Amino acid sequence: MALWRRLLNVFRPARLDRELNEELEFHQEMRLRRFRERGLSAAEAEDETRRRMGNLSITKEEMRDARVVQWLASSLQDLRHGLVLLRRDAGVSGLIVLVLALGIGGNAAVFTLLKAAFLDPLPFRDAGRLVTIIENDGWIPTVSEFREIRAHTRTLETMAFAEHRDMQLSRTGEPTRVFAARVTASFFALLGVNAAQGRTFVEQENQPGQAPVVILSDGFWRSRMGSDPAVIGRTLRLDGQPAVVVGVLPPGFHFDYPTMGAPEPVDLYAPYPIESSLPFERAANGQGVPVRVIARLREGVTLAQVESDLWDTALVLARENTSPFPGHPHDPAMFAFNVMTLRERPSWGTSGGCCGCFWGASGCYC
Amino acid sequence: MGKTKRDQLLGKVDLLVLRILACGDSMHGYAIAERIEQLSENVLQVGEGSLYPALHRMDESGWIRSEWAASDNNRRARYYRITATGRRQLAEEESEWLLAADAIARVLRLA
Repeated sequence: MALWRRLLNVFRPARLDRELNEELEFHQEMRLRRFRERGLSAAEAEDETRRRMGNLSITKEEMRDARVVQWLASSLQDLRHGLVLLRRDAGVSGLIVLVLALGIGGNAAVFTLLKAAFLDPLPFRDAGRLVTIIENDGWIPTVSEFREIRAHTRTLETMAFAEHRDMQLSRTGEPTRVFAARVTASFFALLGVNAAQGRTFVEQENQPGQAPVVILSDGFWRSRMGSDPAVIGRTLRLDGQPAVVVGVLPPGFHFDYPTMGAPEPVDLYAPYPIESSLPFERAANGQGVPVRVIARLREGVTLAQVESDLWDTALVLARENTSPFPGHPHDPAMFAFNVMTLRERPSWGTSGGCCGCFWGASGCYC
Repeated sequence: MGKTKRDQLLGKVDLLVLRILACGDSMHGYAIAERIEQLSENVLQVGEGSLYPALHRMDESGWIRSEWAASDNNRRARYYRITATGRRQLAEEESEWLLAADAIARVLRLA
């Protein structure tokens, strides 16, 4: 008898009761019919049946016992037997428990990481339309490539990039290292994030020569600025330059470790100064500053459409950039890009592959 | 005392029920009772009070299986069928019983 059926018998006694009743009623009816066939009167048949069937409630009680009590008792006995065995081989039992605990614990830990990295929806507005663009050989693009794509695209609504770097923060004492991201003004708007205090960046702050400004992460504001309520407008010295705090981000916001392949949480954001004229540089050739490019698809646009859009851009770039070898124009493949959803981003750091490895390893281990 | 007597009786009911079911098709409780009476030429009457608890106990033990199906008078009835475990149990109990009956008969003859 199936286990769920037995559990049902224990926890849904009414159902079992109905079944037992039905079975006995059927029996009673058959008896009555048979006595009538043998020529007994209705009353005689009733009497005879009652005599033969005896006390039905006792019978039913015994049937219930057979279904429930005996099973429970034998389960209890099995359990006790199991415990005795476990105690007798305490060493082996302990080892087994240890192995199971480590295996389950390992899997749970790795799954928690994988879930955050791959399964949970990204915590950004309409995250399904967020993509990242990389060079077709896996490098992240340069600022000049970012500008070319933005100038030519017909399928991307907005684009932004972030460049992660260490910065020196000097206040009164020793300078300390902070982890910063230099971004375009469109970065926060694209992700749908507003400042909790103050504001995010504006377009012209990305032009070179502007007075440096900075936005703090909530964590940095709490731990390093003592949750200063009057932090907006204060000046920090970043890389030896005074930078004015213009905003503090909301507590939940993070676009960094481990989900985005940045090595650690970002303490503060600064605007990236974009030169107005940049030579075309390709990261695969070791040129330029590589930046993590994110973009939001226009409504209803598919990844395939973006791919062909990017290929058109590559054709333009191959035409515009004269080849060093006269008579041999560039192969457009040298200017090609790949697009993938932010969720995929396989080449952004190795955290995904690592997690997979861990999981595989702990799986084997079990 | 009451317990041992009941157990002996149940043991015999088990044996008879298993033997009947071993003949083939699935049967409902009433048919089993009737068949026992018929075959024993009305010497043995199995009361419902011992037949049904025995059926349910053997179902729990896995000697027989039960399922609900429509009976010939179009009512739902619980039908029982013997399992492979049940057949092994039957063989065992049958030989034990025959041995005991033989021994008792010998004692009765010789004493």
